[in-house]
Amino acid sequence: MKPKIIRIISFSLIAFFHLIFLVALILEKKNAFPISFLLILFLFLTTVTYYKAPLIHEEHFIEDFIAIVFVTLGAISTYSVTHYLKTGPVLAAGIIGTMASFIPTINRESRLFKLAPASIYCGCFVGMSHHDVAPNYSFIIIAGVITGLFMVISKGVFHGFGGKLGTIAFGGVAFTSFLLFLLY
Amino acid sequence: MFIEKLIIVCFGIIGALLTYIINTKLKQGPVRASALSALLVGGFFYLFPSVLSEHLTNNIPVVFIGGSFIGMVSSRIISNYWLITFSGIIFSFFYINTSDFFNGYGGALGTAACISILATLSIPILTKKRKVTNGILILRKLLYRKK
Repeated sequence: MKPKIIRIISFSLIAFFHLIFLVALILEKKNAFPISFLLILFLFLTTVTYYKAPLIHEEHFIEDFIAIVFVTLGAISTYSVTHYLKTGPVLAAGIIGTMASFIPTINRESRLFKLAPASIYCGCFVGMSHHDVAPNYSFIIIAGVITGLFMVISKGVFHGFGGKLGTIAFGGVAFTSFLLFLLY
Repeated sequence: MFIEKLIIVCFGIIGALLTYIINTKLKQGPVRASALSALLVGGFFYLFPSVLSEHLTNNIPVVFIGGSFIGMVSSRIISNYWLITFSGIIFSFFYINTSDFFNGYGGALGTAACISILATLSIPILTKKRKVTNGILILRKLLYRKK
């Protein structure tokens, strides 16, 4: 597939995730006028940035497919720490993320190790899901793989943006929930 | 109640600024900056759960890690501390008013952080001075000559 098409697909996916997130919040707060007004204002401001800011980066194409493994590992480990050590999602993500951030120091030349921190931390966000949304490991593994795929294709968009990994994880978890809702 | 909300907003801003400083000034990279600060705050409230009220103990680590996602932004995109602070305020607004939505889905905090950054980035775009075109320059010249 052409790099341009990949970038357009991943850009549209992230924009779609932002849109459904904001629309869900606006609908939730439709009776509270000041809050829904501010949410609509943020939707407008976000749209301005979408049009004007350079969010697509021609110099990047796709991530290595091994990122899918890292994301899934990050998700499983965070989910395990949260639920078995009863640490809560924030501390679990902090522990796994901090450990992951030191992986490149094992071998500074390795391209694989350089990829690990961001991918594992992205997986952490999937693993932070509540038990009601992610009831078992099957869900976490499926969500991890889908999030990993989103991460692979989204290398060329939103490079260096805070919250990009979280948006991808949100997309992966929401998509998996939707998929399971259709199947069962 | 208002004080508790104010404390939550403050922690959202502190999370963003602290992570940004560790990320860009101390050059530790975005992942370590965010995870380490979340580890410190999460660890503190895990070890000392009764220092603050139950509401704050439950919410401060979550709003802090959410704010830390803002601080993961590259200095090439945002290099102004005021814009980071403003993003933190927007994020805290999202968190306070829509906390029901954050309970389930992993990544919701990151999505709110990303939207906060995008909304903040529109400010420099909207307030940027328009380029002075050649036509306007000629018009100015004519006006000054008349004087």
